[in-house]
Formats: sequence, C-alpha cells, structure tokens
Amino acid sequence: MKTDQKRIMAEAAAWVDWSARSDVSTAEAAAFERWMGESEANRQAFADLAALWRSDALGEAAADVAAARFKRRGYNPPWRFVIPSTVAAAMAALAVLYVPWMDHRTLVTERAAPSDTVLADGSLVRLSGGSRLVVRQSPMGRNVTLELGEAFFDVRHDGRPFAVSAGEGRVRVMGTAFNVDRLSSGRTEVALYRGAVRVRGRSKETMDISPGERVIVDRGRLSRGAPLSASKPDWIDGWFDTQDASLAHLVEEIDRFSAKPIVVDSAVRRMRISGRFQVGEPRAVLALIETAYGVQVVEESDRIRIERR
Amino acid sequence: MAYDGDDSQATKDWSPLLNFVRRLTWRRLRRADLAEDVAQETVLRLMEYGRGGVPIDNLYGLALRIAENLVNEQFRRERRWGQVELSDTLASAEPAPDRVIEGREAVATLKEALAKMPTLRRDIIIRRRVNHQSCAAIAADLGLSVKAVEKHVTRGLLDLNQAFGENGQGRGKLN
Repeated sequence: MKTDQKRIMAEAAAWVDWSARSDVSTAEAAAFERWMGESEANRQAFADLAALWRSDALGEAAADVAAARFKRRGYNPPWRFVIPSTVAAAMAALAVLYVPWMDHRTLVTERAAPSDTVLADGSLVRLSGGSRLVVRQSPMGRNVTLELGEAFFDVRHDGRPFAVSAGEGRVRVMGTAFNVDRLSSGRTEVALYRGAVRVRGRSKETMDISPGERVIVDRGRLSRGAPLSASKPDWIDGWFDTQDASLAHLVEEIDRFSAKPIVVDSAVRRMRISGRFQVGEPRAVLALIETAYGVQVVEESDRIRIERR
Repeated sequence: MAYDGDDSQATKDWSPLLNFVRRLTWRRLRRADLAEDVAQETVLRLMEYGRGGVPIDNLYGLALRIAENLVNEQFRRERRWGQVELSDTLASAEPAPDRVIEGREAVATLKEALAKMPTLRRDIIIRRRVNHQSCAAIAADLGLSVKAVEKHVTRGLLDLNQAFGENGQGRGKLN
C-alpha cells in the first residue's frame, strides 16, 4: 500500500515536470489523460505536486536560494569571473595585467536561453534571451552597454559609479537593483526595484526614480511609465504583467523565450493587451492571445506569425 | 477521457474533474471559496469548448491550463484592488499580495528543503523553476543525460513536497 502511494507520487512528479514543458507530443498528452483517468489517487497526487511546483512560494524560495548563492560567490577571489574561459591568449594577457576590478567582456545570450553572470565587482547581471551586453569595468568606473534585449542588474556598492547605457538613455547607480528593457521600437524602459538611480536622456535631461517606479526613454526623451507591481522584474519568474501594452510589446517579451522568432502583422501590432502572461512559455501565451484577442497564430517552418483573423 | 461535444455527453460525470481542479486551486490559494469558483468556471469553459464542435481529447491538460489562467486573473484583480498599498508594499519590501496568500512560512520551509538537497539537484531545480530552462538544455549545460535531469527534477519535487507536508503547510483539508 505504502509503496503503491510512493509509485503514484513519483509518476505524478514526472507528469508535473512534463506539464511545464512547451513541446509536448500528442502521444504523451494522451498518456497523461489516461493516467489521470485511472484513479482519484493519481489525480490528487498530481494536483498536490502541480500546485506546489507552480506556487509563487516555490518560485520565490528557489529565486532566493539562487540569489544567496551568487552573493556567496561574490566573496571568492574575483579572478574567477575575470578570466574568459574561451580565449586562451587573453588569459595570458590578463594574468599580467590583472587587477581585481577589471572586467572586459561581451555577454551574449541565445534566443530562449537567459543566463546569469557575476561580474568582477560582484554585481549580478541576469540577461534575458536574445540579449547582448558589453561590460567595461576599470579602476575608474563600471560601464555596461545593453546593445540588445533586456537585463536585470543587482549592483554591488563599491564606491565606483556603475552606469548602464541603452540606446539614448543612460542610468547611473550605486548599489541597487533595476531592470533595463531595450525594445526594438527604439524605446528603453528602466524599472527600479531597490536603491536609487538617475536616468539621463539625450538632452542631458535627467530623472531620478525611486523604487517601484519606471522611466521610459523614447527617442532620447524621458517620461514616467506605469508603476511596478512586484519586487523583481516579471520576466525573471517568466511573467509579463501589464495593464496596457501593445501586442507588439508582449510579443517582443515572449519572443526572447521562443525557439522560433515570432513576428506580428502590422494590422494587429497596436492592439492593446492587458493581463499576466507566462512569457517563459511562449506557446501557452500564443494560445491564450489567440482565443482572448481573436488573432490568428500561424506557425511556419522558420517563424511564427500573428495576423488578423 | 474524451469529450466530443455531443449533447448526450453534456450530462457526463464531471465530478472527478471538479475534484481535481478544486484540489489544485485549493493547494495554490488556500481559499475554499476560490477553489470552488475556479472548479465550476473551468468545467463551464470546457463544456463551451465542447459545444464549439471541437472534440476535446486532452480534458485534464486543458483543465490545468484554464484553472491556471483563472488563478492568475484572480491575482491580477486583487492586485488592482490593492493598488493603493502597492507603493508602500514596494518601499517596505513587503511581499506582493499573491505571496501573502501563499504565506511566508511556506517560502521559509521550501528554502530550508532546497538548502538540504544535494547541490546538483538544487541547481537543476533552480534552473528548471526559476530560469525556465528545459531538461534538454540543463542536460547539455551540465553534461548529463536528459533522463538523469528529469530524475533529479522529479526527486527534487518529491523532496519539496515531503518537507511541505511535514511542516503542516501542504496539508490543507478540502471542504
């Protein structure tokens, strides 16, 4: 009896992991339905484990444990993070020129593959998929340029200024946590979660923001965006939460998590969207907007297209 | 359990599915009223789908998705109502409203359980749950087989569930 329950729990756990995948075959889906139809015990075990896996409590606990690990790593000798593992020649040069506060490199993420990096100064950078960040840390200052995509920064205070450039906007910070989202429309969004930052546009115009606020840099001009509704950016947990965004913006967010590029027809680009979307699961979001907003999602061999129905 | 939208099937027994969604929602929100609402609404929507003439052969899979969306809608609504406290919430680093529902204790229990796990398993759970990496991507990163990664996720989830249960957090009575 006891071993029976154990077997059911193990099977349920495997199905929960399966249900969080984006690429499921119809054969697997049918097997899942069969398994669920088998007994009340199966359904209960699955409900319990699925609720636990999807709970915000687990998301938060796991994110906290992950963040704590980064902090611990920060106390290790910084050279660990300075040496680019792939460039042998640069390693030799760095061995000579090495100073603990130098870090020169370019971080690039593939589509659908966000990644975390600890810089030489101990700051954490979390790059979303399809993003590119150029890092230049010297004894004089810490500069990074977000050339593409979106990044979350948890900056370690070390006396040197930390500046993020993105398009025509520039953010200067000390010790603080914030998110920079570079949208292809030429807009850049800066959202602050902790500390204080000053954002500068093209015309030396600046804006100071406090935690919970968002600034939008559009063609070098600054304006305030909608206030934030969480303690860290949505995309880190795989969510995009908006009360008024264009379909094009939502698609840009899910596109970074999608293996195939997603494009939006001009006829529906400006459609207004609100809701909370699990951007980490692009297919689920596409299915949702297809039903909720009456658009058509067409999958082609090399891309996914959204058009008017 | 296939449902082909035929009217005769509209009288089918929905209670296993209702029970499933009720339990799923209860476990996430710990609110009996919402669990009941979400369960009823999910079945209604499934019946509507069926009436559209499209045969539904993935009833439980669909129910899972619909219930999930309804729960998220609920969070959003509550967040909107709670708008006034929102800036205070952020300034004082208090948890967001949905986190309050889940409870601080749950987070603490799960953190403890994660800390107790073997390093590799913990790393895999974090990659899967926080970074939304696929098992295949994790396997490639860590030089493991996909099967091995899946095994770690499964075992890890069972570890977490056990810790949750021992603490009394996960044992909610259904009414």
